[in-house]
Amino acid sequence: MRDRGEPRSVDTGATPVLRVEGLDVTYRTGRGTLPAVRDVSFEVSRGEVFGLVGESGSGKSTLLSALMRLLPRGTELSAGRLELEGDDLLGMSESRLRGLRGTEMGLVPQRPMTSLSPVTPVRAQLRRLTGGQVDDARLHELLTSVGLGGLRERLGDYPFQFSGGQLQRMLIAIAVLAREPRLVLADEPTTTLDATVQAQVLRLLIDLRERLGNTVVLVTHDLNVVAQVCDRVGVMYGGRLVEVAPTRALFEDPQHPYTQALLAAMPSKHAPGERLRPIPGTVSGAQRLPGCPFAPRCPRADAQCRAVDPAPRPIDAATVRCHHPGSAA
Amino acid sequence: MSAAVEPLVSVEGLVKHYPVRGPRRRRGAPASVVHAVDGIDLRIARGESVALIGESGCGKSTVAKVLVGLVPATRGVVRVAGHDVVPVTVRDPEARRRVQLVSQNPWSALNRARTVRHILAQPVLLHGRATGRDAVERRVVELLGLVGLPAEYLDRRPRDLSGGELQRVTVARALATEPELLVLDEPTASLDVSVKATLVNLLADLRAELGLTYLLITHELDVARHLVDRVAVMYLGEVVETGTAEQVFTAPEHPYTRALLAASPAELVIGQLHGDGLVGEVPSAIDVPSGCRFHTRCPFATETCTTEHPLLRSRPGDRAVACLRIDELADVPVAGTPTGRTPQ
Repeated sequence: MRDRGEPRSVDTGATPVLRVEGLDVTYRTGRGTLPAVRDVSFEVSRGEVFGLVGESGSGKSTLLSALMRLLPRGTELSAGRLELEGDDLLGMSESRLRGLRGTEMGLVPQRPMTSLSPVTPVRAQLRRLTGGQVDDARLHELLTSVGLGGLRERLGDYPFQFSGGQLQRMLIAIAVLAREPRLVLADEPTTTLDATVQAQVLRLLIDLRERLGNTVVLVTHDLNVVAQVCDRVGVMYGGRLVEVAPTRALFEDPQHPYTQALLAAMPSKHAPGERLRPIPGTVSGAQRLPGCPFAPRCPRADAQCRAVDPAPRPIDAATVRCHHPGSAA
Repeated sequence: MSAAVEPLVSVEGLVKHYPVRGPRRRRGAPASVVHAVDGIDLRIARGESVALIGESGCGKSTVAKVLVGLVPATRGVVRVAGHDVVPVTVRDPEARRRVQLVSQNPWSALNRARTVRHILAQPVLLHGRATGRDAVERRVVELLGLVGLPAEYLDRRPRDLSGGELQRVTVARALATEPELLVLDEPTASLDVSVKATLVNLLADLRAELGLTYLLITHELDVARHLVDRVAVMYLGEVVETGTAEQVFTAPEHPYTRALLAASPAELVIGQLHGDGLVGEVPSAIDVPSGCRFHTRCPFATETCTTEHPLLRSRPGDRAVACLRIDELADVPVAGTPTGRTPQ
């Protein structure tokens, strides 16, 4: 049994569980290349819940796939470093990676319904997902731990006979509990669930983290989810990680103009009936700009912003990629 | 609103059951049905904006489909501006013209092979809102202008547009027939935060400008808070609470409404999980629970709740709640406060 240290402690001194440095991902498409992720660096400590937020096209899902080295063929991936507890993931052979996925890195997918086969009973699929290592008794034990003990007699049923919340909890049981991976990657795990069920699934993810001391990277577009469960948050825009900060600091005093604009657009930041404040302009083409990706929409942008991509710089506990960072006006 | 004036929309005893086929039906067993909508009443005054909120499977989208005539009702009466929509949906083009739908997924709502011009001209021609090439073209440009898109979008096709632009085109198309009622079925569900904000503003502007009436179907309470005057909360095919937006969103009464609001609070909550107070999920709409349909998840349920079916009863201040214990619960503080991360 691996030593997991004190559960819940975010241990920043030791080797981070995940270290990403200078990650680039480029898609080759019929219409040329698309730099989907550019020069992304961050670390996640043991026991931490790290959120990655961004709008569609920001590169957050590509980044998550890159962390598992699960990018489509023809995609270029390069980085200074991509390490799981010191193990270099970039130079690793596909067969070793396959050994890591599921055992050291667990994935909780966005749509439980489509990530399972519709024509195979769930028992067989859940078993296969654990590498065939669990018998019925252990499977029942796992499901009981996620509050699905009552489903014992129904494991011969097919995915469509379960609700989205039940399927998502089954997949969490497999991804997080069955082999206790060091790193859990969750891709929009609650997006397709109802509000009252969303709360239950988030609670389950957090309770398991407290119990097992695992590390979670949570990708979502839902700022409310991030605010509830993450210890630190990275905000993506146009393929760049534009701001990384502890959750409270990010929501209460964001430093990057994009983070500020994104938070200001949330309906919950407005009184009922008040006009909402959308971000002017569109995100399209941001990845290909030579300077800061947010420059065309940014109230602070000047000639330097349009020409030179800003390097990340530390501001208190945050890291901000902006030529003119600072609290919102 | 005064009761003397006939509402623009009146729904009475609307029932929609879908027959179940497939493995759930055993030979010899009685035919089972999905109780999508089970006897709801709803009135919407002219110019009013009403939200129908609830979780998946509560029947809110079925109400939308019945209203725009996409599915026939099983029972009940729906009248819009004096025209029967139900039960004679298809026969009355005037009723159809007055009610238009903006659907959830603009990618599948628009014909990908057609230009924006064609997509907008079609309903204008079908309902005879303009005749002659020039007049139709003028109207189509005007419609684009209403949703804030320039005329150069006329020759584009859906694949050339972003999600937010597509959703504006579906709104423009709905406006093409000069409707009185827009049924907005999760109009912002697939949109990013900023694009969502733009669309919410647009819908608020259009309502003021054109005097439209809205029925907003949504699970996004924060969007509803910004767009509606009144709210009806649905659970498993029934309306369990109605009231003004302010009443329902700030002082919910029905235990289900309380749980729903606790799970999606109005304010951003940092470092704590939203309270839910609910166990389990929405039960099957095929074998609906006896008595109060919410009793299987309700923290306040008693023995009586499992057998007696509560009716929607008027409460002080023009609101109504379907709960047997509402008189005792009215004094119980609203469980809207978030709970800590570690409940144990």
